[in-house]
Amino acid sequence: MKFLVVEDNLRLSTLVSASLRDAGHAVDAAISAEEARHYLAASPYDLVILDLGLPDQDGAQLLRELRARRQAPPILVATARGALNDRIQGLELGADDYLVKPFHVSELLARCRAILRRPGAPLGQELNAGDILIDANSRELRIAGKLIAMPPKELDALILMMRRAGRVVAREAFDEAVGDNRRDVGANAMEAIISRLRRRLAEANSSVKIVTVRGIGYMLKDRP
Amino acid sequence: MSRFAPGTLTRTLTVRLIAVATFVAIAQMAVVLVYYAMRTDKTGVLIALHEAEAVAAHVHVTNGLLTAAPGPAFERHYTRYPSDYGLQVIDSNGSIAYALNGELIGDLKIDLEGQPDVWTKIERRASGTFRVTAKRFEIGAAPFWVAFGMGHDPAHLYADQMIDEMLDHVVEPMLPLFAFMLLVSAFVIRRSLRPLTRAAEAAAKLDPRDHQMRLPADGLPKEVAELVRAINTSLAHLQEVFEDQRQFLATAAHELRTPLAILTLQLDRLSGPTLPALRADVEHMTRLVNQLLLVARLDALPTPHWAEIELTDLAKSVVSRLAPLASLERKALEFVDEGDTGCQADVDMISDALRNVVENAIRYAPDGSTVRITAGPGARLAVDDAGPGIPESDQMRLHQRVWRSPKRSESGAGLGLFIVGKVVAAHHGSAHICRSPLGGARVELSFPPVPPVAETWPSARLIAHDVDAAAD
Repeated sequence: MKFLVVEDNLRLSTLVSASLRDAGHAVDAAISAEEARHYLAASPYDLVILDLGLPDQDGAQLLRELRARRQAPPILVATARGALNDRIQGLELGADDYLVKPFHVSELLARCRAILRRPGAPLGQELNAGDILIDANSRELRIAGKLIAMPPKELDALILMMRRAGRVVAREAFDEAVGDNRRDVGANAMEAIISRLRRRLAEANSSVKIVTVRGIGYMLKDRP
Repeated sequence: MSRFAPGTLTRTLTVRLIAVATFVAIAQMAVVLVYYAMRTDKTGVLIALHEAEAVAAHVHVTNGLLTAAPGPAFERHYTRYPSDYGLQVIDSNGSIAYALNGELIGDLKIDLEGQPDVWTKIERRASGTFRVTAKRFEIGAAPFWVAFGMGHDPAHLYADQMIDEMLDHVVEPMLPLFAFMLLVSAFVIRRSLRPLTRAAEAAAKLDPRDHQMRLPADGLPKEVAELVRAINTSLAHLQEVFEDQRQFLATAAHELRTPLAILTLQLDRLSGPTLPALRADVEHMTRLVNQLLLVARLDALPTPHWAEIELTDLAKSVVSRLAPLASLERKALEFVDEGDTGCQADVDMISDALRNVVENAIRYAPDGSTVRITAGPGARLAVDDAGPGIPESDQMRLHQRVWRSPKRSESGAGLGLFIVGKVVAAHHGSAHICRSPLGGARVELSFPPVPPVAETWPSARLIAHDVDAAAD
């Protein structure tokens, strides 16, 4: 994957680029909107990581410009402005996601992966979290490299949580992903599925655990 | 002005107008009194005419002869003061048809010949001035005269006459005028002050976030327009200050968060035994910076962006966002929805407040314990924990208006509680802390379903960033 990092702070730009390169991506770094335009005109990118506070221009302007193009790369906005209104504005202007500084490398990579995995986006249906690896097309599950058999409902629930690793997945979302079309999965049935999934992950000695947020849903957590 | 304060301008003006009108009425009465008191002869004629007309109304012709029977009520003064009041009814032959103390007037026959309809003669007698006034009347085709004579005035007919005059010429015409003036002035005053009322209403709706924070000066009277222009000038200055503050906060956020981002990323790329402690320090500093920026923002713009919201949705979003932190700190989060949580509030502000309460709970609760967040019933949020409780000195922060540096006894939860207090106050809500059934502290925030001064703002969107219900 080829990334463009638009960030005026050189130290931050270097760190973000290095983290992305470590994850196996090619990275160009621009320090101004002007420079970003040159890069974008010269070659196609799979993802742009954009800081809104640029020295020569408001990043929002660049965002608007990119959105107006027909074949624009997806954009992840990384900004120091954290207020909700800014976030709404950013998403309305067409950012694919929004990351408030400061952020961890793991979160940056997770957000990038999530964007690249969206329908029509370049990354394939390969999901990973901790030592778990799933091919969402063939539904092959590997834990620590070992092929593991998993019943379909448990696998559906796991895939759903892997798509949003590190974030809470609401119970309602499980109903859609796990239930067949005719009826929803009851709360008890859902708990049973999660508890079986937990047991299987523990049996396979996975580094990943399922955290319950009672009243809301579940979340995958990689043991630190 | 101070004599009428505090009252409405309408009332002050009305009261003053009434005072002026009353003064004018009294002055006019005084003038009339003085006028009649100085013109005794004229008043005397008026008294005589009054008496004459009263008798004439009781004069009849019976068998070609005149008779008069004015009745005992009329005769009272004459019987009581026989030497001061006299009356004669004289027919066309000059003979006296009716008399009360007629001898006082004497024989007027000769005098009546060729006289005008009303005439007066004044005699100087030993007892003093005696005044006789006669008036000609007609009954059928027959003329007759009534003559009235008066010496002293022991029955105060002068005074009675003056009061009558006063009633006729001053009080009667003035009363309706007075009432009319009151009504009209109240109406006129109210109408004239309407621009002021409108300006006040516009002022109440001012929002410092509005780029055009101005009062409309169109259609205002000159004096009010000047006031409004002066206020608008101050508003423009205020807005500059707000704008500077906003700009400063945006810059400060950027300046502070960027180095924190560098630190965070740098630490992520390192390894070593001291790393967890360093990470915790950076996390702590990040939280502190976020809180200070939030306090600054609340200080600069304490007016909420009102919108119709569900506290349940808001709480779910906040809890979801904090779930990773809770899991990292080895605490479980539990969310309870009691329902009916619709209210008008600022999503951003209340999310910040709730996040601070939950973060505090996560930080101070023992490992493995549960932090429970409850939304409802009604427009309420509660956070329960199993921690050691919140020290008194920290609890004080809830009700502080300005931030003061913490005392040594404080745990560090104070800044969060200060933020909570500010947010709750801006919403006209209330916050209190008590013991939780979980064993620790319970922080409860309640909001009025409809705030006292609420303007509904158009953007009622809540970005449930981390809890999208739909699958990707």
